[in-house]
Amino acid sequence: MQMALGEASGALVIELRETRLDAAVAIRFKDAIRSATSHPGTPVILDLNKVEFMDSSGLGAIVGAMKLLGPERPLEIAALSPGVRKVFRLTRMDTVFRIHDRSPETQTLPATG
Amino acid sequence: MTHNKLTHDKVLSTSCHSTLEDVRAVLVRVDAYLRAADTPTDWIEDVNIILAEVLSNIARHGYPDSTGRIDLEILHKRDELRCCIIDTGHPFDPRLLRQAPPEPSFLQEGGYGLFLIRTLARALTYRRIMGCNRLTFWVPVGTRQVVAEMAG
Repeated sequence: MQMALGEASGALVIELRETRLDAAVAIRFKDAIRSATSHPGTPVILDLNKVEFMDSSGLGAIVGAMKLLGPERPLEIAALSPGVRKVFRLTRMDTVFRIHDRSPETQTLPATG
Repeated sequence: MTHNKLTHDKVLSTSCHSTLEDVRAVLVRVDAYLRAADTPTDWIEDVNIILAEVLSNIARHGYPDSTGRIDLEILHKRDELRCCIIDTGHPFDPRLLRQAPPEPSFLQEGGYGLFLIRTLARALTYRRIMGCNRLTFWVPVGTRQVVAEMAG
């Protein structure tokens, strides 16, 4: 699970460097989010600009990540492809997450594997 | 892939093992095939979502104690895509489950897949025949040229 960490306006930005967020990687994704956010604090923006496809397992993993972070640490989402946005829209989960149209401008932190 | 010379219908037949990795590989192949066929992106997205949910359901629940086989046949007609998925796993009729999606505020981590299938697939049929699950559905497709013609 390739991810790059950055920082933008006080938020931790996690850019997922995968083209698919699906059933085959959903558990690994959640584990990677858990370790990337192990230091408590800042809000988290999940940048999905590289993700071309997401299925319901991927959506479930993002919901799981949100619950993992807890109500005090909001998870926002950025840069959805049309196909990914469709899954959020059809399930009405776009009403739950704050969704940014574009990737935030980040200062890069050391990469994680 | 085979072509029917009289109708110009194309058939994409493929199969995979019931593992999530194999399912992903098949989905990537189908996506590449549809893109090469100049199918409008919006419909490719629908096919990708339905097939991903159907195949990963079979991979996860159809063969709990072993790895089985999943056959997929896609008949690509001029303006529709007819899909047929066959497996020999546990009987499972996705039409029998509720149609409503999970309530967003409940923050469920599952339960969206069958809703997506039922929302996007047209004429979803299921039959259990001779120990096989046979699921069929279609989605409207076509090339950009066909869409332009239909729009007049």
